[in-house]
Amino acid sequence: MRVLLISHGHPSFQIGGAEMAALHLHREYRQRIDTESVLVCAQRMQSPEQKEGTLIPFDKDHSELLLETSSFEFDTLTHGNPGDVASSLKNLLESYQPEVIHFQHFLNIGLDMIRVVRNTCPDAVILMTLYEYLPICRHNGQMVKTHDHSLCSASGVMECTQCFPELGAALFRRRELVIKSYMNLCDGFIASSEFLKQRYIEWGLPADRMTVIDNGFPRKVPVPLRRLQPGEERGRRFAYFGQLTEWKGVDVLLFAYAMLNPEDKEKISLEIHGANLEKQSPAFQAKVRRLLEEYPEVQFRGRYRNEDLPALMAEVDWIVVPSIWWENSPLVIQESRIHGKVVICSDIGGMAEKVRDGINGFTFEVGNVQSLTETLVKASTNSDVWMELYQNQNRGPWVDEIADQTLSYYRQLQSPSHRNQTDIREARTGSGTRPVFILGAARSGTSILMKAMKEGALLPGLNEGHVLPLLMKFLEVTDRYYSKYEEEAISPFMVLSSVPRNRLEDRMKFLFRELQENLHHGGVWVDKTPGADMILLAPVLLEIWPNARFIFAKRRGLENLISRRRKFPDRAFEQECRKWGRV
Amino acid sequence: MKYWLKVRDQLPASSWIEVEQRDIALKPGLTGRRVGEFLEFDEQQIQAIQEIFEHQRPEQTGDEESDRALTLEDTGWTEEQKAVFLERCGPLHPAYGYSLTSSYYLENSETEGSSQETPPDERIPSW
Repeated sequence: MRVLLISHGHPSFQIGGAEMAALHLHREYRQRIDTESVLVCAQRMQSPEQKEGTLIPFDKDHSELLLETSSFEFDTLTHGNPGDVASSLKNLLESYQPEVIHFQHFLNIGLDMIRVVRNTCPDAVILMTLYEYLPICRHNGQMVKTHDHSLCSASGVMECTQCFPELGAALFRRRELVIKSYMNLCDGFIASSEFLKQRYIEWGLPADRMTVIDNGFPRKVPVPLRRLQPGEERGRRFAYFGQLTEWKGVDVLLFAYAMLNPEDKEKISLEIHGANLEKQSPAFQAKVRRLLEEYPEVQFRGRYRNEDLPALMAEVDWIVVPSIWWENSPLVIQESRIHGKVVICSDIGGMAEKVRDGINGFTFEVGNVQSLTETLVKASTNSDVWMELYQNQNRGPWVDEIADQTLSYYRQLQSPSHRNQTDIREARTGSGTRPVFILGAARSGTSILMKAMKEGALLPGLNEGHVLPLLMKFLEVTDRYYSKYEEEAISPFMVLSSVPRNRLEDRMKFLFRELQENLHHGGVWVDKTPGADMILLAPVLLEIWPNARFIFAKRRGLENLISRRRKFPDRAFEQECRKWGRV
Repeated sequence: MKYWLKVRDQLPASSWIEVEQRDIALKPGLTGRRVGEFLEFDEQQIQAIQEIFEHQRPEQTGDEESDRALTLEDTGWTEEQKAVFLERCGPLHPAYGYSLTSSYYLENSETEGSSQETPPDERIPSW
C-alpha cells in the first residue's frame, strides 16, 4: 500500500504531539514490507527569497519532504493562495500515485489542499486525523470562551460572535461552510479520543466516517522505579511538564500547591518543567512569577529537551496535567505512561478517557484549585496507592500497534462496501464539476450576484472572468478560416485536411476547460463575465461542462441606461443603448 | 438582451435562470431563495445569499428603490435621446415583459423565461 502522510511540521523544527505522531507512523510504515510511505511536512518559509511550494528532501531516502509554505488563512483554515503549493503537491501525487493520502494535520498546508488531492487522485482514499477542535472553534481550536476562559460545549454563530464580536456573524457562517465543504471530501476521520469523535459528530461530521485511534510511540524500555532516599516514601514527588500557557493550567497547579497546609507542603515536592512563559499575556506571566516567588520550594526547572525527558521523569512519581481545555491525547500523558509515571489530570476531554480516576491515576475537577489540592493530599498520603495505580498502567499504545490499526482502517475505507456507502466521487471530481456562469448586461446586477455566490454561497471564483470569451474569438476565427478554405480543408494534398476543424475546436475547448479547472480545482465554482460574447458562448460552455448553470442578470433598459450614463458619462448614448440591446 | 433571447432556447430549461435586478432590491429574501434553490444550495448558503441581497443592495437608480418605477419622461433625456432609446431598446422591452411606464412590467406579462417574438438578430454561431 502506498501512503502519503501530510503533516503541519517536522518534529526536528517544532515538537508537538501531532508532528511526532506523523513521524512515528511514517517511520513505522517504512519498516514494513507491504507499505510504502512518504511524509510531507509543511515548513514555514523563513525568508521571502525562498520559493513557496518547494519540496526539500529531509532524509537520505527522500521519504521525508519539507514543503515550503508561507500563507495560511486562519479564519477558514485554508492556504488561501495555493498556486505554487498546489502545483508541487499535484506533481508529487502524480509521480508517487499514493493509494492513501492521510492528512495528519492541515495547519500550514490548508484544507483547500484536500480539493487538490481529490482532483489529482480521484480514486485514492483521503482521510484526516483530528487532534483538537480547530475546524469547530476559532479560538485556537480549544473550545474555551475568550472572555472568561470557561469551557464551551458547542460552536454556533451566536456563540462564536460572542467570543469574537469584532468579526461578525457572516464570518462564522462562512468559516463553517468553507471548512465543512473541504472536510466533506475526506473518506474518513481518525479521532484521538472518543470524546473528540463525539464533538465532531455533534458538529456535523458523519458518524460512519469516524473512528478512534490513539497516537503511538516507538517501544521503549521504561525508566526503572525511582530509588528512594533513606526514610523517603514513594508517591510524594510531583511534576508538571509542558508549555507554560494559560490553557495548560500551570497556575491552577501552583494555586493548589499554595493551598496545601504546611505539613503537606513539607512532605510534597513539586517541579515545574516547561518554557515559553515569556510568550504569554503579561497578566498570566505576572501571576505565575508571583506564585513561584512566593513558594521558592517549588522547583522551576524551565525548558527541557525531549531527549532529557526520561531522566527528568525518572526523578518523580506523579505527573500533573491540569489543562483547562478539552485536551484529547496530550503528549505528556503518553510520555508519562511510557516511563511508568502515574498521572493526575483534569477530568475532561480525552484526558479523562486515558486516566481513569482511582484505577490508573487520579482526576480532579477541571480548573478547581480546591479539588486539585485535595487530590495532591490524597496522592501523597499513602504510597501503596501510588504502587497500585502504577501497576494498573497500560504502557502503550505503541506505534506498531497504532500502525496496524491505522492500516486496517485504510483497508476498510478502500473496501467496496465502504465506497458504496460514501461514494460521492462523481460529484467531487471532473464529471461533477459544476460551474455557475453569471451572464447579462453590465449594470444589471451581475456584481451583487457574484458577491452572493462568493461571499454567501462561498463558491470559489474571481471577481470578473473575461477569459472564456477568448474561446469565442478563437472559435470565430477558426470558423471563418475553415469557411474561407473550404476546399483545401478536404483536399488530400493539403496539410489543412489533416487538421480536422472539429478536432481543433475540441482541443481549444479542452484547453479552456483545463485553464478553469486548474484555477478552481473542480467542484462548484463561479464565473462572472458580463457582455454579449459570453452569452453567445453559453451552448459551448454547456458542452464543455454539462452540469453548468447560468444566471442571466437582467434589468429594464430605462434603468440600465440611467445607470450606464452615471457610471460612464463620457460614452455615447447610442453606444450604450446598443450594448444593452445586444446582450 | 436579444442574444440571450435566442441563446436561452438552445439551453435546457433546467440549466438557466433569469434574475431581475429590481427583484434583488425589492424582494431580496424571495429572490435569494429562488437563486439558491435553483443552484441546489443548502439552507445555510441560501440564507447567506439572502443576507447579502438584503444588506448589500445592488446599484439602484434612485436613492431608494420603490414599487413605482421610472417612466421615459422621468429620465430627463433629450427628445433625441429618447428617440434613440426607443429605436434601439424599445422593441426588446416587451420580449422581457417590460413596460416603459411606472409599473415597470407590462400588465399580465410573464416576467421570467419569456419566449415572445424577438427582433431580427445577427447570426448565432452553431458550435
